[in-house]
Amino acid sequence: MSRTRFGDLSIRGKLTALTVLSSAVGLLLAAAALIAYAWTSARAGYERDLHTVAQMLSGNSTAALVFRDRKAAIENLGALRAKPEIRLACLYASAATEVFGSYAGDADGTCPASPEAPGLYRDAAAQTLVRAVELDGERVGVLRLTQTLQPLQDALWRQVQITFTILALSFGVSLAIAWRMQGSISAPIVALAGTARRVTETRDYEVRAAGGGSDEVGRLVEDFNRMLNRIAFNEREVSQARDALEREVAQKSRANAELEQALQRLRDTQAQLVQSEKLASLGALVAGVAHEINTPVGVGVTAASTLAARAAQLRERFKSETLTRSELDRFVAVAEESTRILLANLNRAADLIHSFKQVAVDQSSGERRRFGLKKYLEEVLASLNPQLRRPGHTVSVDCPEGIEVDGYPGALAQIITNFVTNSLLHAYEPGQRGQIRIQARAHDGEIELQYRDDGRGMPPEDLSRIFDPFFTTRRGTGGSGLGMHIVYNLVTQMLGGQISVSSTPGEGVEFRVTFPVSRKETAHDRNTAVRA
Amino acid sequence: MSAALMNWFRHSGRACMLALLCAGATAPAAALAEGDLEHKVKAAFLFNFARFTVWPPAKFAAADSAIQFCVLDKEALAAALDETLRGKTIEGRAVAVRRVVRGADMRGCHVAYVGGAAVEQVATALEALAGSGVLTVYDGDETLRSGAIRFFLEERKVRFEINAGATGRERLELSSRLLSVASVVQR
Repeated sequence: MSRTRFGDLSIRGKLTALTVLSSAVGLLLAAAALIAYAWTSARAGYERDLHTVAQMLSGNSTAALVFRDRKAAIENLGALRAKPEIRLACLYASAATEVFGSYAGDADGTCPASPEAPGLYRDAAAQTLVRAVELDGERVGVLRLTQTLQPLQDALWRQVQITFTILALSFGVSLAIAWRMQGSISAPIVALAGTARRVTETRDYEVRAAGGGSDEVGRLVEDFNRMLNRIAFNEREVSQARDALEREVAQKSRANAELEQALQRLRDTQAQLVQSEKLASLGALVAGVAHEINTPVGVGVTAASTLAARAAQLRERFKSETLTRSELDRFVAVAEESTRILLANLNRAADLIHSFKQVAVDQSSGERRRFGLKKYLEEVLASLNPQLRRPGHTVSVDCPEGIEVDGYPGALAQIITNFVTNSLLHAYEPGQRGQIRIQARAHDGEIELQYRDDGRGMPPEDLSRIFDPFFTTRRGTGGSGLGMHIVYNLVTQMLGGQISVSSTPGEGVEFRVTFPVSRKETAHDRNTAVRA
Repeated sequence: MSAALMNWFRHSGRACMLALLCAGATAPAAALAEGDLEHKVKAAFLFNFARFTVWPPAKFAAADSAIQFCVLDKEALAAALDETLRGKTIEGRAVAVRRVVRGADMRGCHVAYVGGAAVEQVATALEALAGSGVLTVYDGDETLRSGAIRFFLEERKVRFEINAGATGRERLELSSRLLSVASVVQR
């Protein structure tokens, strides 16, 4: 107990120690105070007593002193037998250096030859009072009394013994009482502490603390249980919320993964679609080329076969020698005509092939170069001619000569192709003959290109979504929903320009594209160019 | 006090006496009652008698009237008394010595020493002072009715006897402390 710190004691020990120590300290202090008070008051009483005795004796001794009656003086001092604590009394005649009379309570007492100056002299075991004996203000002698404190010390010692006996007894009693009583306070607290530790260790919040009356400890137990209730409730709620959250997160991440996959699929599909769109337009080009070339080649074949037939006829006549001059002239005329037709049509085919070749190369290679805008627009439209001419649509190009563009002609070709395809697909009713107008103007280093059809137009709600990917009003009938989206991307990324669309239902659609004459080369352009 | 000390006291009496004379106030112990010394002791005793005595108020004309010490027919004592009382007071009163030649002249005194060789002469003088409230003192071997205090020698020491009857008749109040050191008779 003495080696352990008070703070480390158990509550049981603390309570006991507290009770016992406080009662012991209280008793000790009270006893010390009582003893000190008893000692000082007894000593003061002794001193008072000594003064009284001295006063009485000196009063009684005056006559004996002035009449030099030693016997009377000694008799007078003999009255001190009633005061055993006064061990020695010495009477001196005034100014005399020898003892006039004396009284000794015990055999050892010897009076000094001359008295000390008047006053009280204390030491541990005794106190000595020296007092002048006066008669009518005149000093007639000196009285010296020595009082032993032995009885006082004995009494004090007995008191200390009694006090400590009582102290020991009450210490024992309070120890016993404290040990018995502390249980009512400490037991519920110890139980509570045990419960708290169990709860902490097992994390089982359904455990409840028992016991506790209606005192503070009882309320503590109640509050603790209430707290446990709340913790248990919160724990349940938290775990429920956590489970719900985990489920939700799992769902979300599953959904997210699905979305990611879908997005990836979508991107793949988009890329495929863009590729197939490109291929489709190439296919359309090839079809146009085949169709266009078919006519001159067919005419050429006809002319050539006519020429061949006439040549065979000529050889027959020449062999049978029935060739007439007029016949030869007609043959020459036919041959000249046939050759002229043949040449014209072959030239036409060669021209066509050249322009188609240019468009096809631009579209497939995506190279940047300088080109004449008007000529290029006409070449693109020529490649689209078969699709336009069959339903009887007409296309007019209004473009000043000499506009040179430094950029991506393939992108421009694809934009025009998609505009035309879009008009053919959506704008016109079957049998309707449409009028498509393309107008290009250059000012302030920018090209403004207007494409206009006179079809049925678009409602505003469709118009606002026309550049969105996969937006189509013709799904299932050949519309991929990517054409206009590709146009948008080509304008903004390849040409570095802007595109807007406007429409009045029943009057047609107008696209307006603006882009710089000279495309500034940037890293972004290079990337998109490579990708395109 | 031990017997040896008492013995020493007795044999070195003269030296001791000188010391006492120098002290002046308290009279010397009643040893060696011869000549001047005896008178000095008796003079001191007379002075001390007055200190332990209370007179009837009528004996004093005023609150600060002097206490009269009268000596009849004993010049040696009167001279010693002169010496003893010089510069003394008793409870604020001055003290004075008067030498008288007739006993009747002492009625106004407070302390009266009545000298005289013959007992009858002393007795007559004392009788003349009866009823005057005077503390009368005399020397002798027998107690006289009208004398308040009688000096006598015992073991060569001056002792005194108080006649309580006489002091009572003269309405003198003697302190019990005085009585405690005297032999007391009732006459």
